[in-house]
Formats: sequence, structure tokens, C-alpha cells
Amino acid sequence: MNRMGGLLFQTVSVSLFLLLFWGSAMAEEEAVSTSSFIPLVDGKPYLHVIHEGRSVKVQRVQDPAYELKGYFARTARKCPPFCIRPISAADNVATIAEPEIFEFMENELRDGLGMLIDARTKKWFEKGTIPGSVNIPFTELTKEPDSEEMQKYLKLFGGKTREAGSMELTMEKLGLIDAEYKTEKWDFSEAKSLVIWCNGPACGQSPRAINGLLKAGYPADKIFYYRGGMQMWLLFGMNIVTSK
Amino acid sequence: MLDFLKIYTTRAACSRFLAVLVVLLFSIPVFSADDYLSEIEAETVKLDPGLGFEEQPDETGTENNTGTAEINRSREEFEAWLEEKYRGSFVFYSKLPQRSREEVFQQYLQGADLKVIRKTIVDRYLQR
Repeated sequence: MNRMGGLLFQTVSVSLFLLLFWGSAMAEEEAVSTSSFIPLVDGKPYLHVIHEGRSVKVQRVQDPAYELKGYFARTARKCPPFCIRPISAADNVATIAEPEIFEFMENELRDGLGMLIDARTKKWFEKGTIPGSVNIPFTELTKEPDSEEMQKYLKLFGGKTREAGSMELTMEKLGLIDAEYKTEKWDFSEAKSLVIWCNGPACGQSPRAINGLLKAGYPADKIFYYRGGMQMWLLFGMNIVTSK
Repeated sequence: MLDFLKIYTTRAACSRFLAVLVVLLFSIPVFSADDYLSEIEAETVKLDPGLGFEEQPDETGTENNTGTAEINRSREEFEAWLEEKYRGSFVFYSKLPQRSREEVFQQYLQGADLKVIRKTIVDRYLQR
């Protein structure tokens, strides 16, 4: 009995020690990691993302006196066509900001369940892009839903063509069988989440791409609009990559 | 005579109105898809050669022959970095058997989130 008590006492002491030590160790780490380093967001100093087959570190400029200069520091451009866009690109398409992009990069993108799409034309992409992005210009994503190009992209995003019989379609329409993520010609059940962006709040390229995809039947809740785009990405001092 | 004048003035007013309408229609800037595209392309000329800050010198990545990500930081470098930045986690890490250390390092190489790596260290230390 005494032996049992001793064992119990030992276990409790070790647990308490570990708890206290771990707590102080964590506090120390937090102090070290938050000293003067400007993180991406609180608790996330930086992250890594795969871009064109190589690992790229995403972090912010560490000089607090750094000021953005050049094209993306401009306050105005000709309007139209470069007018300030509304917060929403389309009904039921969520608009997201930088912290959600970081989460996306570390989860869906890393796991192959999502794609970060730079919807700008090739010339813009070549000047620099957000790490992890692939360039699919809006001109491609606004093609007719039945066009060969659009079908190619829908397949790339994980859409599957389907040949549903009239009975099946009727039952789906009546709500007798599950029709979520399905259209007459496509099954988007396993389609990827797409984060689509362009030059920033006054850029119409990504909203056009988003509307093109919706027209083709892509589910709105699998599309995310990063309205801040390149302008906000640079304003927060995040690094970009240029195509090799 | 008066009726003729009335008809004449009404017709003249109508044609003037139509003429103004036509002029207005053509003077309002309407952007077709092609116009929009050419405006976008024209804007790229204004871009600086390099947007300000380019890719950070990345201590992690180069592309290997297979095209997959290969992180260049060695295990020694990883351990030194962990010790410097996360001393608490390093203390637990240093007490782990080689097999578990390797597992943590591999997790790091695959780009796992730091929170996940630190949790693995504690889990392995507590043998969960």
C-alpha cells in the first residue's frame, strides 16, 4: 500500500514539475520569439510555402522604418477601369484577408486541397507574385463554360465530368438525392478551394475570374476572393517571388 | 402655316435631340473586354523593374532534380536554430532518442507548422 502511495506521489510530482517547467519554458520561448521580430501574425513569425517546386519562406520586412515605394504605393489610378471595388466579388463568395491566406498556405495549399491563383495577365505575374501562386489569367477563366480551355481548368481544379441520366437529374432537382456540388455536367464534390487574387482593391481581374468560374458552375463556397491582392501584400511588407 | 411651323419645329427638335444622344453615347467611356485588357497591359509599363523587395534570401529551399522541395538546412543547423529560438522545446528535444529526433527533423523538413513540431517534441518526450 505504501509502495502504491509512493508511486502515486512520484507520478504527481513529476507531472507537476513537467507542467511548471513546460510553462516557464513556453513563456521564455514566447519572449524570445516576440522580442523585436515582426511576425506575419501574432504567434506566426513566418511560414514556408512551395513555389514552383521549391520551398520559399514568407515573412515581413523587418525594418519598421521601411516605406513602400513605386507603383503599388500610388493612391490612385485611372477610373474606370481601375476603380475601387466592393468588398464582395460575387454572391456567396467569401472575401478574405492576409491571416486567412497564411492559414490557407499552411493547410489547404500544403495538403493539395487548394490552389492560390494569381488571376492577372502573364506580364504582371512575371514581375512578381505571391509565393505559392499559380498564374491563370482571368482571360482564361472567363471563357465560355463549354469551351475546351474552361473544361481543362475545371478538371485541374478537381472537377469531374458526369453523365447523369434524366431520372437522376430529376431526383436531384426534387431534392430526393444529394445534389450538392453537382451540376448537370460536373461534379465538384472533390474540387479544390480556390483563393483568387490580383493587384488589389482597385483591380477587376480576379472578380472577373471569379464570375467566370461561377458561370461555369464552380461552387461559390469553394472560391475565396483575396481583395487586398498584391497591393496589400506589399504594403504589409511580405515578400514576393519572381518566376524563374 | 402655323401648323406647318409647329411640325417643323417639333421635327427639328427631335433631330437635334437624337444628334445630342448619339454624341453622348459615343463620348461616354465604355470599356469593352478588349479595352480593359489593353489598359491592364499598358499599366505594366509603369511597374518598377522589381517591386521594391524581392524574394527573401531563403535559407531553406532549392529545387532538386526531381523538382520536389528540398530544404537545405542540416539537422545540426536545425538543432542550433531550435536551441536559439525555442530553448524550452530544445531541452525536451535533446532528451529524445535518435529515432524521435529524426522524426521531428523530418517533420520540419516537410514544412510543418512550428506549433505542430513543438507539440510532437512534447508528445514524444511524454511518450504519447
